[in-house]
Amino acid sequence: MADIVALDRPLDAFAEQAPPATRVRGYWQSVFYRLRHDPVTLVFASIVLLIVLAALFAPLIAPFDPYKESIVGRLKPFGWREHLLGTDELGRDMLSRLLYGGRISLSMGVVPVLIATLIGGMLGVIGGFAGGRVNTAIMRTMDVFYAFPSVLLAVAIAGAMGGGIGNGMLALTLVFTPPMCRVAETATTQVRALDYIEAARASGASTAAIIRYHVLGNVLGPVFIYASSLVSVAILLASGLSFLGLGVRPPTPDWGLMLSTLRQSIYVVPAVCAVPGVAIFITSICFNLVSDGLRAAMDVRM
Amino acid sequence: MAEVIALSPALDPRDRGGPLQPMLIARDLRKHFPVKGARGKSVQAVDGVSFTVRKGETLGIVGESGCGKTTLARLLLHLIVPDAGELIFDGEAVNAPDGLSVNALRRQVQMVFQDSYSSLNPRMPIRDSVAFGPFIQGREKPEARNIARDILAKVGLDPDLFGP
Amino acid sequence: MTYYILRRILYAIPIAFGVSVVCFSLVYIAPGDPLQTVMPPDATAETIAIVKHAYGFDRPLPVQFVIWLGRVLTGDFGMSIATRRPVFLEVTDALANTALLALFAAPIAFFTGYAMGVIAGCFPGRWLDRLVTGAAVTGVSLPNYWLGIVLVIVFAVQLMLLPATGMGPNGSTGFHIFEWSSARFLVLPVITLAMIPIGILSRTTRAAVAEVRNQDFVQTLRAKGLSEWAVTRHVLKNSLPQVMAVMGLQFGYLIGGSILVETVFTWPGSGFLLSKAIINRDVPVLQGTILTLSLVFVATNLVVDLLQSLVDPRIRRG
Repeated sequence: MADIVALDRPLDAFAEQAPPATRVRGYWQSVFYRLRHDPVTLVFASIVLLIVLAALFAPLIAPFDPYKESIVGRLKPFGWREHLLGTDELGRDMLSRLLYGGRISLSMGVVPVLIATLIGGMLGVIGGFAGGRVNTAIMRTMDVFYAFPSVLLAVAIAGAMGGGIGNGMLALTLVFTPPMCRVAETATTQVRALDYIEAARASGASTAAIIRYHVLGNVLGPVFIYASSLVSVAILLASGLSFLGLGVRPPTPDWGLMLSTLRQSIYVVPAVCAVPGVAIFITSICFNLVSDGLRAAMDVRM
Repeated sequence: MAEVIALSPALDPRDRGGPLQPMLIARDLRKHFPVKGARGKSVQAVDGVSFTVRKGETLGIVGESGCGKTTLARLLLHLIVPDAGELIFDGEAVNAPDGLSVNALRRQVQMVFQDSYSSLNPRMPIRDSVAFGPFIQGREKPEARNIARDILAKVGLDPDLFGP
Repeated sequence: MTYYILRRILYAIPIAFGVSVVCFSLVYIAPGDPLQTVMPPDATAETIAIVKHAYGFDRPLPVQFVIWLGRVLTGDFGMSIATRRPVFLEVTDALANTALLALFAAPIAFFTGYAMGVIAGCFPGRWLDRLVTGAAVTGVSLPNYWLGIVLVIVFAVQLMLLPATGMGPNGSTGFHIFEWSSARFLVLPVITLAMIPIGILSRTTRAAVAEVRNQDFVQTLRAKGLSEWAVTRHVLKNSLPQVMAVMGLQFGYLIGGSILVETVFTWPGSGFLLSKAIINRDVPVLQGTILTLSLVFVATNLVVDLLQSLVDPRIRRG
């Protein structure tokens, strides 16, 4: 018969266990490890960093004043009198306007995603965890906004409110909150059905503790991945709004707005007119690729 | 008569009721789930279940899937509240005004789940998962972690392998 | 099966209702007095008073909504401030032009995107896959209005092969599809519009095909002795529902999200109407266009879901 008291003596099985092939790591540590060994993602992440830094330090780097017009130096090609990227239709230096414009374009892309992640994520976790009527109410409300194509919704809200950078950001936040909410809700509902949640409840944990220690950690992954993929879309949408005149007002530089005002001049200096679009494209694609890399690093299958 | 192997009280301070006190008595447990839509009808998952488990005994409940085994297990842990009936753990009535609180019950009764893949939080080191129980019951994190290390060592798992 | 169809249609009704609420409130989030936003600036005090009473601006909000809804359901979307024509007529005329673009862009985008995705999905990891994935990411990260501008620069300005803007030498009135003199105006806008759906579709198709190929039943088929081509047919059939769903969504986007491309090419569609309405602060047109476009989007999604349930029996069972 088994001697129950024997449990007080630890089983000496340590000797039989081989030391692990890899170091024991927490989840986030392993994510960083995978990222560090992913050269493609690192390259694009550094480009993103460069773009952000360039925009941040625009006042220090820009060779000219982005607002200074010049009647005689209008629509000049690349390299004319030290204007590396030419001048626009009012004679202003393109490079400087690009750098300053980056601040607006980047913030109009990133800020709405951040706010939408916070609000949508919170609503999604609440709905997913509460289930039942609360969840249905939240998700049906989100579904109404989902019924609009994103460009249309953004244009509708920003357009009705009269444009401007604040309204534009508000419109974009409203566009991104429903999908964020849906991602968070799906993840939370999946997690909630798993046994370890019930085990936590059986240990005596309160709802708040369960959400804090078990749900958030598992939901944060998908939410973060989705948010990072939204940033590239946000930059495109934000510059699209500016292109239509619903973003900042001239003469403030912004990539979308610059494309719009330069459109008339494509017959004169086509290359210069295309430049702001290149900036948008490069920024967007780099964010996209970094987000793909993050997904690969974070999406661990057992 | 089955031989009952029990720890003598002198060896186990957790035994408050004594060797003759049954570990668990379930009396007439009942849990019905209303069927959505059909008024009045309900699924009678657990309907008047009573049993006694003495100390040192193991009770096996067998049944086809859907017969209410999991619901019964959940009732025993008070993860769901029974519609009727009572539970007596080591002599104290659970969730009764002067009996054992549900929280105290949780300190002494636990469930081992069927699906091992979903039993553990994939984002938590195993040591922390084990430490979660004591932590949520009021211990400080370092203390809970030490308890976890002890338990892991006791069952033959090297604690250093299961937590940073 | 009919139960599912009924349920799906029933589900669309509160969504359409919610959409109309949002559109209704657009007038109210606009700065200024809602009454002034729907009236031309030179309206006399009399006209204002008549409109105020007829539209119920002096009544509480829910009542206003009901009045507005009643008008909308009978086709009265108000009058355009800029052109003094009924908004309903403006929107339907413009929508026809957008539909023309979508009708050409959709097949091109669907076929190209699907083909690319299938190729990439069937040869995962190889250079073909990388090429397609790279093209897809590029397509999705390009601002489509910028692509339009670049295409105009290359084909209209430099090469002078295709027209830069507009819908034909006489606008939409003299448009004959089957004559090259008109049809050449379609080329650049359609290509530009198709770009993003191609990108999205190739990514989705690739993911669906790769996922289905990894499933066990594919191995069973091979073990039974089926040729690779036959196996591929099975894989394509199984990945189709997922892809169809995205195709439907993209078609909705082609109609509802065409504003940027239409603005670049001054194509007189609903998107261009919208952008003109924004510049002119023509709120009735803004509201009417958005309402129409979003309801079209809801209807498109409904049709796509129903079609999907026909193709994928699993959905019917709920």
